[in-house]
This record gives sequence, structure tokens and C-alpha cells, in this order.
Amino acid sequence: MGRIKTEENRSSTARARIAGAPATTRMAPVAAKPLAARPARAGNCFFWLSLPILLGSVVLAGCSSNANKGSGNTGSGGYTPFPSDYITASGNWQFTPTATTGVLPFTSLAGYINEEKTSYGYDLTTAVLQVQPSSASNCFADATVIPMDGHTTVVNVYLESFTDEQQVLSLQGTKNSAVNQLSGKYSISSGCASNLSGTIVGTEYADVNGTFAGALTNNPNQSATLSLTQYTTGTGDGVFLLSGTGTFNGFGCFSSGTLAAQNGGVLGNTITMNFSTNDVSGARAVLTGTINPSASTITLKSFNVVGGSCPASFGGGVLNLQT
Amino acid sequence: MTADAIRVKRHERASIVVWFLAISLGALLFALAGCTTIRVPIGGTPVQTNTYLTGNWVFQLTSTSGPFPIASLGGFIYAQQPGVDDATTASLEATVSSSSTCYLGADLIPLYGTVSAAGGNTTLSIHSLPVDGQTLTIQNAVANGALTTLSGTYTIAGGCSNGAAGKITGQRYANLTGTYSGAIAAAMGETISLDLTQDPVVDGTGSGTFLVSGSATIGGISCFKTGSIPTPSTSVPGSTIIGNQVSLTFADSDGSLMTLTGTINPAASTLALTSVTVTGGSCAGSLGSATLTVAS
Repeated sequence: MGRIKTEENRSSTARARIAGAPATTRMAPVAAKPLAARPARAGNCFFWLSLPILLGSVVLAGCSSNANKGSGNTGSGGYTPFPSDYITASGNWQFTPTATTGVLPFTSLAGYINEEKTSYGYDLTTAVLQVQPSSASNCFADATVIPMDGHTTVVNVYLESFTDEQQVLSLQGTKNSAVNQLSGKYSISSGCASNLSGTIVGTEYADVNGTFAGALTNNPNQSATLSLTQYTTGTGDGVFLLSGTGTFNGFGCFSSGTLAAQNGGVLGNTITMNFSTNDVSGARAVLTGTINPSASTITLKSFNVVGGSCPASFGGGVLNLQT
Repeated sequence: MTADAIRVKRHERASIVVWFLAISLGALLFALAGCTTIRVPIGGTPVQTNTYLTGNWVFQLTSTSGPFPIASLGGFIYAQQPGVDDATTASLEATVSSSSTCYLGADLIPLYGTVSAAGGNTTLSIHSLPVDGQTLTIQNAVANGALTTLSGTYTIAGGCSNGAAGKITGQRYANLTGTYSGAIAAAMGETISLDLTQDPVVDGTGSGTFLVSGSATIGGISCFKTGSIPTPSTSVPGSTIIGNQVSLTFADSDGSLMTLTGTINPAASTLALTSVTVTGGSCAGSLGSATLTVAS
């Protein structure tokens, strides 16, 4: 039982196991037999004293070596320091998996990666990703939020999830030079989706900031201009809250609206906005859609007016960032 | 016994002592040989028994300084065991205090840290992933002997709640499993009986919830006499408990749904339903509230 995947957790677990089990149990088979056979020579004392020191040193060296594996670091005993112009992997990401063993556990992963920047070449990193469950496995049907922790090196990002109905998801991704793409692999240990694995490709999405304007596809006379500001850090759901204001033309009972932060969000490439409006009867404008990686375009899938004096469902549209 | 034999015996004793010291030193070096990648601090007393805090918890917060953004937290704590400074994770849902706008729309708080048994106490120390730039830390929350309560302090650094601090007390909630029955208030002769099974405590989700399965039998009503909780799927959300908050949805064979919301007491012996609502079918509407008790 437990989360024993990342290098840091391997070390933690190993340490716990060593300290938890009596050391004499581990050492006795080595030491007891010669002790009984050799009564009383001072020189032996130093031999026995040195033996565990040597073993301890071996463990220390082993840990150091293990920590270096797969991290893309060089040199002896440490990680490659981050360059002065280092770009962290922090941001809003969307991942697409491809199964190589078993079925797809989910069709996408999206959310917030937070890399705590240091200069050491090893940044503690956390993430909260939401899965789009795959009907092929159904394992994450009601366990869609996946908190994770791990670390980032110059080359790679390693993340391992909290236990989620006993499923532990591991991600390893290699960054491109611009740190807006990750490619690597995923695997799941234990629980319903145990032993499913595959490759994964991630894309970072820029913050949704600025003024976006455009018309609905089905009726060019209906248009919206939205001034939006995305929070720079995500939530425990992996969502980036979004606030702003809007002006609307051609919708009948309202012409302006306000987006409170708790009513707007970006998760990967998905954007949701629920504006309160100036309709005296309380109509709300609910917009859903997607953004492109540079966050220069919002493609609306739906524009619904809920409640108030002019409820209706309109089609999609395209809003472009105004420069 | 000759002088040589005595000398040999003394040397043997001395050798055994030195050997023992060497073994102890070796064990210390093993412990200190923790890799540089270790996140949790080295040290602590081995956790042998009674440290299993894994389960469904509710925390009440009391402010001592700064903002007071969170009134309570509830959800899933998962502590590995046994070991030293057991790696521990938690997913807790915050109930935002009425006086605060922090954590609005951001009430799920993932946390990680340790459970240790240093000093003979079972102690939980965890800190959150950044949530809108806010990092919640629960420090030195000490459990009682039965591991059903925790008491400690909390702080929040960064973001909207920066500087918040206070006391925190936790209460573990037992599994919502068994046959719960009782009468619907303000309704003559209408009764509810639920056979419920909560997933094991190790099966909490990243949202802090635990899935519940089971069936319902309604008495004194002409329709929706029986129902069962559908298996969660991509199109059907599951029935869950998080902290003391229960949300159950049963489906009848005619397609109508009955949704129950309410709370449980820590022993999970009483389920107080604040809402019983049927959607679809000829029974659609609110049936009111009910208090159900578990069969012993």
C-alpha cells in the first residue's frame, strides 16, 4: 500500500523501512557468525566498526546515484543547476494520452502545474490535474481530480499522484526548449486502473488576459466584447479563476455583464464564464468554449442566457484578442 | 578458570560491546544516509501502532490572528503506515467562512506532509499545494489515543488569506455503512430504509470524497418504492460522503431519481436528511426531511 513511485518517495520509504526494522536483524547474519568464531582480538573491533560505516556509505552513494537516474543531470552527485534564464513549467497544461498497455484510463488531463523555482537544478513541483474519464476503463469516473507532487529538473518533470481510490498515477515528461510542450509517459499502479500505461503529450496554455471581441456564428448581429483577467496561480481543482467584464450586443434584455472570479475559469484549453448581467430580472450569460495555446482566440461552443427576461440558447462564435 | 581464559572472556565481552556499538552506528548511518531527494525531515520515532489516521475527517478552525477564510474542512486523509514520518496526503474541502471572500471558487485543498509518532504522540503535520497562491499549513495536530480526534494549529501564507492563523480541531467520521431507517418528517406513514456501503477508508478520491453504494426502500408512498445507487460512469455521478456531508442519488426502474442530502454524526449511527427530493416520474417533488438511525 502506498505511494512509492517517485525518487523522493522511494528514498522516504526506504528510509522508513530501514529505521522501522531493527538494524540488528539486518546485520546479525553478517556479524554474529565471525564473532562467535573469533574471541578477542582488538584488530577485529575496527573491522566490525568499519563494516557498517562502509555499508552506510554504500547506501548513501546508492541514494545519490538513484536520485540522478533519469533526471538528465550531469556531473557527480548533484543536479545540473538551472541556467539563469531558466523557465519553469508552472502554468496551465493540457495532456493527451495514448495507451501502450491496456485501455485508455482517461482521454485527457488538464490543470495547474506549480514548480517552486530554485537555483539547484531540482525544483519541488506540485500539480492538480482533472481527468476526462475514458469510457473504456471507467476507472476515474468519479475520481476526476488528481493532486500530484514531484520534482522538475532542467530536462524533465516527474509527478506522482496522491492515492485516488487507490490509483496512483505517475507522469514523466521531457520539456522542449520553450517549456511549453512536454512529452513522456504515464503509468498507473494499484487500484482499478492498475498497470495501464502509455505515452503522453502536454501543451501549456497561455494566460487568458486582455480584451476579446467577436460575433456569434449564427447571427453576426449578436456580438460580445470581453475584458478578462486570469489568476496567475491555480486552485486545488487545477482551475485558473477568471474575472472580468463584458459588453453584449443583440441579446435583448442585457447589454453588459460582470464575471466574478468564482464564476469564471480556465482548465487546460477549456474556458467557462458565467456573467451576471444588467438585466433587471437577473439573466445570466453562460459561455463555454476553448482557447488556443497562445490564448489569442476563444472559440465559443455555447452562449446561453439563463433566467431573467430573455432566456435562450445561441450557437458558438469566435472571440479574438484585440491588440 | 585460568588467567588466559578470563582474559579471553573479557575480550569476548568487550568485543560484543564494540560489535553492538558498531551495529548501532551502522543503523544510524543508514538512517542518516537519506538521499538528498527526501522531502520530509529526517528524524522522529518509528511509528509502530495506532498511527493510522487514514479516513474521513472534519476539521473546525478557530482564528487567533489575521483573516479567517475557512470555517471548516472535510475530506480524505491518507497516511502510509507503519514507518517514520509517514508520507501523508489529504484532499480537504473548505467551507468558506461567511466573513471572507478568499477561497471562493477554490475550496478544494490538496495537502501533503507527514504523520509521526515523535514524543509518544501521533502527530499530523501537512501543508497544502498552493491554492490561488494560498498555502495552508496544519501544524502539530496531535491525535487522541483512539485516533478519532486531532488538535493543533494552522497558518495560511500567501495570497488573499496571508497571515491567517489559529487553532484547528479534527474529528474522524466512521463509515456510512449499514441499514439506516426512519420516518419522513411531516408525512403520515412515509418511511425510508437505506442499505448503504461506503468504500473503504483507503479508497478516498482526490476530491476528498468517498463513494457510497446501496439501495433504498420507501414505505407509504405509491411510487418510487425502491431504488438503487447507479454505478458511477462518465455520464452518472456517484453518491458520496465527504466529511459529515452526504449526497446520495437512487434510481428507480422507471427512470426517476431520488436525491438525498444530509449529515452524519461522528459514529455514523445517525443520518439526518435535510432534503429528500424525487425528480421525474409521478412522485416528483420534495418529500421533506428525515432522521434515520442505523440498525444495531
